[in-house]
Amino acid sequence: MNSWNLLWLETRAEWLKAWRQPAFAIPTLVLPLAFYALFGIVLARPGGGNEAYLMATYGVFASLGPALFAFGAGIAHERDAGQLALKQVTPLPVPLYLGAKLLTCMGFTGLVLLALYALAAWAGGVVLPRVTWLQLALVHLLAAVPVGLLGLVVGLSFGASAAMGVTNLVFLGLAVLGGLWIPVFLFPGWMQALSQAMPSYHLAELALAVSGRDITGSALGHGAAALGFTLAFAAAVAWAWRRAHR
Amino acid sequence: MKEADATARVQRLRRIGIALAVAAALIGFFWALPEPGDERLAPPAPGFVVRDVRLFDGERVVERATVVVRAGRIVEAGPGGAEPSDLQVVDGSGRTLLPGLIDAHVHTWGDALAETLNFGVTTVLDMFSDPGPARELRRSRASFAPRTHADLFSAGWLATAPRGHGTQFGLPVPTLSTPDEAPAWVDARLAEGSDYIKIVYEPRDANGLGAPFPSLDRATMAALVAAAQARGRLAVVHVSRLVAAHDALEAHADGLVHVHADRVADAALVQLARERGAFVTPTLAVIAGFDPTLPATAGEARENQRLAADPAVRPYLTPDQRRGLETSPGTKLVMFRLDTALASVRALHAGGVEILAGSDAPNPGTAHGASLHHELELLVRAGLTPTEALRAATSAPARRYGLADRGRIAPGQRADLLLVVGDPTTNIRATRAIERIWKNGAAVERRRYPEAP
Repeated sequence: MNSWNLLWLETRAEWLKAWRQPAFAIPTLVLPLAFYALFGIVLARPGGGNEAYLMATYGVFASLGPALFAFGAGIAHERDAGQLALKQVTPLPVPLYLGAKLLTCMGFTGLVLLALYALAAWAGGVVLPRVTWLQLALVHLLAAVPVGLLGLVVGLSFGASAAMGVTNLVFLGLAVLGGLWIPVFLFPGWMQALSQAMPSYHLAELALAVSGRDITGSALGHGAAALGFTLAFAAAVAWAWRRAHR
Repeated sequence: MKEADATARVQRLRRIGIALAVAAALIGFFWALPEPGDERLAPPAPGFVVRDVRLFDGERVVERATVVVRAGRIVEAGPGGAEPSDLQVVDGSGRTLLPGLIDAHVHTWGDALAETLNFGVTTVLDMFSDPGPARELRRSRASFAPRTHADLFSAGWLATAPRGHGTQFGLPVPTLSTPDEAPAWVDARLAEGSDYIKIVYEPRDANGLGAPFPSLDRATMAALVAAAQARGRLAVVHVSRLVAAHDALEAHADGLVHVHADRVADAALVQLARERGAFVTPTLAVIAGFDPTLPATAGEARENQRLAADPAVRPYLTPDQRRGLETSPGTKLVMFRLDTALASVRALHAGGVEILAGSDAPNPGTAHGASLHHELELLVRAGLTPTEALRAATSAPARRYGLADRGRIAPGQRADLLLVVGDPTTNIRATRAIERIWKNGAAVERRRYPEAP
């Protein structure tokens, strides 16, 4: 059994597990789509010129649900149920266990994104150069990595019921302060300052830049910020894992 | 052992097969997503025939014409003519068919383009707004797919001095101060997708009197005009005073996007404008909205309030549009006088200067779409014939701004059309009696906004 095979099997198991709890998986898939359908399609009047803008930010929003709820809060449940202790006595390396979680989380995000793009293209009136569709998909998919890591930090740090509450708060903060529902420039100054501390803000700016919008700051700067958050969250996962061990 | 190997191989092949199928499905999905210029998803409307109609083709009037539209374009237009049997027929008797109107001075955001189309205005020329939405709409602007909003051409950010006119709205307007900055400023706008360049020029006079905010100096204004024209783009200038208008024309501006309002145009200005071949978009509708001396008689409704009350207009105004039209100016200090502006337009028009119709909606006293009909009426009051006023809102702006596919009813043109009851070529107010609107050859359902009883 080489590591790739292990990762594959573990990811497959994770995927099946998530899929076999439809009451849990489906809402995380449907929630961002319902939000987008409401604000990007139903309430949007034709000719607003913000069709791709909305898809760019809701694509980042789509990566929040699976990462935070399905996998962040999920791992807290596993810990409470003693599954985590079981995993820890198996010869499965820790990075593979967490890597499988992250891959599954990206897989879920990918599914939401496909549905989101289909909605945007055929009901939301979004028209983009083909290269831009692909670049945007890349940004949206990779957005699941830092958020997924953040979810793991929460899941490893809190018990199941506390994790749910904390996750809700994190979810709201990332969505609102990240400018995923309301553009950041409409906020008062102190909220705009808080936005800078949100990975979702930098991810959204990156997605907007890719979609052809002018953004505050450079795409490179926001990319670096997103990478910084990813590394910081990865370190936090390692720390939280060691704490969860005891 | 051999059997186990074989099973493993079959499994591996199956896995590869699944991976390939998923990859193919993904490629297919992304391939199917709509690209600019992609019309596979929403095919153009099949077409229709308008029969026995009075036709204003953007230039002149043809009595009893037939117009045939197919796949979003006009294929035939002229007197008589055979009507194809495969298309829906619209009886045009007692009605006039016009090119979809063009408003040559607006500012768009939010629902502007939907509100605009609701009044038969199928194209707008934006003279300053955030370029982001314009860039998005530009991607599908050339398409002939059915659309439920007007098309937008835009200047994007305007050229103004730091803290100058246009910076007061809190938008991140990129400003400039010196002639040396002009070429790079224009390049940046064109890279953002600006269709033409709009310059604000509001200098103080020799006595230091003038606008209460900073302005570009004359040399910077001239450098911007030159930079735009060197790149094959139009340079249009916002002025509000006669001296500034003169300066802008001397700098070879392609057009003025307001008529100056401090005093009546003199012979020198008219002559300069004619010699330079410049156009003027007077925006009388917004001047009427701002004029604090209107109405002359107490108790009488203001110009814009009368428009809002017109039964041909009112049901189609959104609550926001109604509020916009019913706004009264807050101060008596505003220098805008409709009488002065009308006299200037009269002098310019009589002197052979081309006039374009623009409303400057949604400024106080105006509303998108509706106010262009008001502007047409005001242009006729300023001495244009109804036909000349209609040209100013169709073929003239299309020619001046290089919009080759619109503004006229002729074979090959985009089928942006307006069918009105009566004859606006003799009574300009008939443009408000809208019976049908088509955008890209597809019928537009007009929206009504009932008022609370």
